[in-house]
Formats: sequence, C-alpha cells, structure tokens
Amino acid sequence: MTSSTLVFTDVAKEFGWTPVIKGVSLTIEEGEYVALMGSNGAGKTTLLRMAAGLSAPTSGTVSVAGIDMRRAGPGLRRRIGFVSHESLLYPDLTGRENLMFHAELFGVADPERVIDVMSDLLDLGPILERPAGVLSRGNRQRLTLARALLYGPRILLLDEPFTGLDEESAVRLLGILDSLVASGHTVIMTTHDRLVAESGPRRLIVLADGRVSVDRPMPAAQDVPPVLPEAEAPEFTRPRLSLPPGRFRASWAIARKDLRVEFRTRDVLGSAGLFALAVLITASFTMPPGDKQSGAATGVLWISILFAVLLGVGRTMARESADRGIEGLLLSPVPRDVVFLGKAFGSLVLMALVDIVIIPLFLVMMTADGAGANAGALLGTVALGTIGLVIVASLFSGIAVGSRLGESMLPLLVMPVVIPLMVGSVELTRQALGAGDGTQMWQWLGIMAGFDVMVAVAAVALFSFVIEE
Amino acid sequence: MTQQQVPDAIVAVDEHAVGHHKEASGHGMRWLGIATVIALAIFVYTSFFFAPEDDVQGVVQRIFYIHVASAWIAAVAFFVVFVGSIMYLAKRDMRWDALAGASAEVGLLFTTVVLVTGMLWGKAIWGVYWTWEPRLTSVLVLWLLYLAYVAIRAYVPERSRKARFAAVVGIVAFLDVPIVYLSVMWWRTLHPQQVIITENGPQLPAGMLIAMLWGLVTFSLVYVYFVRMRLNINRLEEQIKREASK
Repeated sequence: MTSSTLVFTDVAKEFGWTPVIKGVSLTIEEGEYVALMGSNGAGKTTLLRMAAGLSAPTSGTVSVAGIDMRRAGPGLRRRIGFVSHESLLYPDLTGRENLMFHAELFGVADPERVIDVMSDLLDLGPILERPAGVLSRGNRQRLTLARALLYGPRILLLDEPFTGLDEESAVRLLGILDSLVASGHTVIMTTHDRLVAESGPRRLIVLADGRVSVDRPMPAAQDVPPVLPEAEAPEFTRPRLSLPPGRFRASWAIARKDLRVEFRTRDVLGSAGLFALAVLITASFTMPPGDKQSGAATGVLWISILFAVLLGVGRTMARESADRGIEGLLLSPVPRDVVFLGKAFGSLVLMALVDIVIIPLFLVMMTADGAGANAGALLGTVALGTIGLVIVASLFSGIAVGSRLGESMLPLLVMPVVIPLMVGSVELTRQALGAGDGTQMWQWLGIMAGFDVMVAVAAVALFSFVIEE
Repeated sequence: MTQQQVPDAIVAVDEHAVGHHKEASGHGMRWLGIATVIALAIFVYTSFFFAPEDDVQGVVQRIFYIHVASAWIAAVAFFVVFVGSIMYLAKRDMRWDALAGASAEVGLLFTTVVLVTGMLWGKAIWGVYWTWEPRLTSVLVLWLLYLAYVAIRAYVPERSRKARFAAVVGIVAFLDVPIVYLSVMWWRTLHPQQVIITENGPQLPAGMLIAMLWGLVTFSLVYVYFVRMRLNINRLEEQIKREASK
C-alpha cells in the first residue's frame, strides 16, 4: 500500500433512514485516474465526501494509506484536495483573500508565489481581485479548483469539476489533470458526461443504487474518438509546504478572516449594535434616570447584550455555512477545537466593540452619569459576561444552523443555559454601580468565572461533535 | 413514496414489530407494569391515609410526597441523559441516544409535575402560585434547559446529527444545573430549609418518612416503565421509518 492508496471497505452510509451507499468496497491506487459515474442519487457525492473526511460512513471504513479518515491527522488532510458542488469559499472575500486564508491554514510556504502559479495555471487573472460571491459559476469553479490544488494534494477528489466551465477552461482543466496524473497524483472525478469521462480517466466506476455496478478500465485512448480538443499539459509544480500553523496562529487566522468579512460587510456590528442600542433607548423611557441600584436597569443592559450576542454570533456562523465555508475549515489540517477558538475569538472581538458603544451609553442614559461606579468591577463584569455569552452562543450556533429552524433556534438553546451568567452579570453590575455593600462582589465574580470556565472546557471538548458532518 | 405504500409498510412493520416487542420485552414490561400499578396503589394509601396529617399545613402537606418523588426522578432522569449523551459520543451507539432521549422526555414530564405541585403547594402555604424563590426558579430553568434538549431532537431530522446535537446539549445542560442552583440560591432565598436529613438524623415523623420513601420507590418504577415504553415506541417508529424508506 502506498502513501496515497484510497480504500473503501464495506462502506455503507444512511441519511436518516435512507441508505445511500449500501456496501462499497474499492481500492484506488496511487496515480490512478478514475471517472465515477452514476445517475442522480446513486451515491457519487457521498462517496467522495467520505473519502475527503467530511462525512463518516454509517458502517465500514474509508482509509488513506491505511489510516481511517475519521482519525485523519494534519498530514493526511494535506494529502487530499476536494472540489464539491459548493465552492467552500467565503463570498465576501476576494479570490486572493480566500486563497491566502486557505494557504495559511494548510501551511503553504510561499503563498503569494503559489497563488501566482495557480493564477497562471487556471487563468485566474482579475478573478483574484473580485469577491467570490459576485463571480460567475464558471469563474467561481476555477477559483475552487485553485483552492483545492493550492497545497499540492496527492489525491484529488473532484465532484463534477467541469460544471459551469467554458470549453477553453474545460480543456485547460483536462490538461492539468493529465499532468497531475502523469506526476503520480490520484484523481477521482464524478461526472454525468460520458465524453468527459472518456477524455482522460483510465478507470470507470459506475454506482447504481448505492452499489458498484461497473468497475473496469476505460478503453485505450486510441479506441475513443476525440471529443474535446487536445489539451495542453501545463506544468504543475508541487508547492512547498511548511509545518501546519500552530493552534494560536490557526485560531488567529480564522478570527482574522471573520473580522475581515465583518469589517467589509458590517452585518454583525450593524444589526447587533443597533439592536442593543434600540433596546437601551426604548427602556430608558420607562425608567427614572439615576436609579443606579435598579436591577431592572442593569437587566435591560444585559438583555441588550445577550440579544446582540445572539444576533452577532448567529450571523457569523450562518455566514460560515454559506457556500459551506465551514467545510473548507474541516478539510484543513487545523484541529476542530481550534476552529471553535478562532470563531469564538472573532465573535468576542466584535462583541467587545458592541460593548464599547453600549456600556458608556448605558451609564449616561440609565445611571445619569455613572459617577461612583467601580470601573474595575464593571469592566470585569462586562468581560466575564460577554466571554461566557459568546462561548455558549458559538457552541450552540453550529447546532442551530444545522437544525430545521436555523438561526431562530439559537435563543431557545442559549437562553436557559446562560441564566446563571445573566443573574451574575446583573447583580455584579448593580454592585459595581454602587448598590449594596459590595461584599458579595467576589462571590458573583466567582460564579461568573466558574461558568465561563465550565462552558469553555465543554465547548472546546464538544465543538468537534457539532461540526463533524 | 405513494399513499398506498405507507399503510402497507406500516402494516408490515406492525406485524413484525408486535412480534418482536412481545419476544424482546413483552413479559418484562407486563410484570413491570403490574408492579408499578401495585406500587402506585400502595403509594396512594401511604401518602393519603397512612402518613399522619401535618399539624401546621394540614392536608395540603400531602402534596409533598408527589412533589419530592417527582423531583428525585427528574434528577435521576437528567443524570441518565448526561450519561447517555457521553456514552453516545464515545461509542456512537444509537441505543445510548435513544435512552438519553427517552429519559429526557420522562424527566421533563416529572419536572412539569414538580412545577405544578410546587405552585399548588405555594398557593396554599405562601398565598401565591409563583414566587421567584431559588428552588422553584431552578426547577423552572431546568425545565427550560431540557425543553431545549427535546426541541433540538424535534428540529433535526437526520438521526445521527440529531443524536450528536442532542448529546452536546444534554452534557452542557447537566453541567449547568449546579451553577443555576447556586446562582439562583444566592440571588434570593425564601424557601423552607431542608428538613429530611440533618446531622441529627431524619426530622420527619416516621409515617411521613415511610410515605416519602415509598414515593421514591414507586416513582422510580414509573420512571423505568415510562422509559422502557418510550424505547419500545422508538423501536417501532424506527422500524416503520426504515420500512417506509425502502
């Protein structure tokens, strides 16, 4: 077995109660060029997703180089490139920003140069400087191919890679694939187009009703009439890889990506910030100013922060599921708990910005001047409260997005869990503003810190189960 | 799927499932059911006739036996959800998920009983149906937490994803319970202090203690019966869905 042998052993996959793959056993050796065909719903995409490690079989195993894909480490993940129906790109980032982000996650040594190589190879040109979301289907597909080739994977899994490509681009891609196979890469592509299947692949596998119905070599090239113009064979130099990024660098890269998207779209800051502001302003009409000891006033503050977090974090995760950006992260060698840390850290920075606007306004509107407030305690309360809310919302937003209700599910999941944090935040804010004798301050700080630690540990341990598939 | 196929599938499954049900757990369930009914009858006797009437609260105090037993079962049920959730994530065996789901539903039912009996008791003793005292509030939060757990099961159709999501919520919810209790207790305290077991031993009169302990036994049997019944229903649902999807 070579370092890129892909083996399916008695693989079955069910979605709900519907069996999609019903016992597939296949061995695809290094350097093979395989066309995977079959009617709609035959299980082609499911098989490729399992090979990419994005989906786990219900029974049986999928392994690369003898390693079960469910236990794939960073090295194995960098060996696989996957092009799916969705681009796995972020629509608000330009082509170059998308590729730079993935290059960083995969540990590409000289990303600028590699992107230039990709640009020449796939004729990306102006595509690189435009947001992925505004690109045509064909141009986005070229960018998607660049994303999958960026780190020089030895196994390429391509799901309908020619969809949307014009003839020139299709010919170019065929040439690239020929060149890759010639240099020992494994290529498996699904297609409905028999002409495409006969334009390069040396082995044909046909799936029917979740089973392999045909597995045979393709007729030799000379037996097949030429269906597409002869492809050039562009040089594909395998990019140099450094070590995958460490935990801190990887989570910072993910957070930075989220912040870049946000500062470009201002979705979260706009909606969450304005919402929190509207709650404060509306509530300020119902309360006497200067009532620093009022639990109701601090309650309003924390309800506005809670809803800002729900809106903001929910939006951030929903953005991740647009064009399945999250799957791009799952394909990368970055550990899944690091994905959580990156997402949570990015959201925390955004929510801190919302706090910076909301807290002074609260002090002015609800407490007249905020004079006499214990600034340290207030800051600590806001920090602990916001951190706890962001952690819980980040963990559960993955669940909410994956449910039938979508983002609307998030408040139902988050609000009961954060009640102790909300109680602590309201009480501590009151005391920081001068209510009570302050003797319970440490008690409340303790309960808030305890809550934050508990949910942080649980979230880091459990997030991988949330985004598993 | 055509309209014709569904009834056929259900009929086919039903015949098979009834046979399977009888074979696998029919006898056990029948005896458990009989034992539960007998225990409930004895519970009615011990709590309404055998236990002495409280000098201060009068007959309304008898709600205590249902209230405490339901609270105990709710706690056990949610602990089972916690264990089932961890075991599912570790083993990926759907039976652990089914156990957690069934236990959560039964636990939610008993938590509802705790809330309702607590409110009725509160009206008689404190003069109001609801007061934001720590234990009532904690139970309400508990009810909300597991309502979210049951909701996520209802809103995720794909079963392995449902199991994963539910397990994550089940673990976080259980870990949250002590913090909820602490925070609410510190926030406001009005509730009568614990009177069952102190350093000097049980403070309840013997008759009351026996009625309470029998309540725990009875409600434990009810819990086991309900969970097993729910698991059987799950099994039938699964078979119907599996047949219908063929």
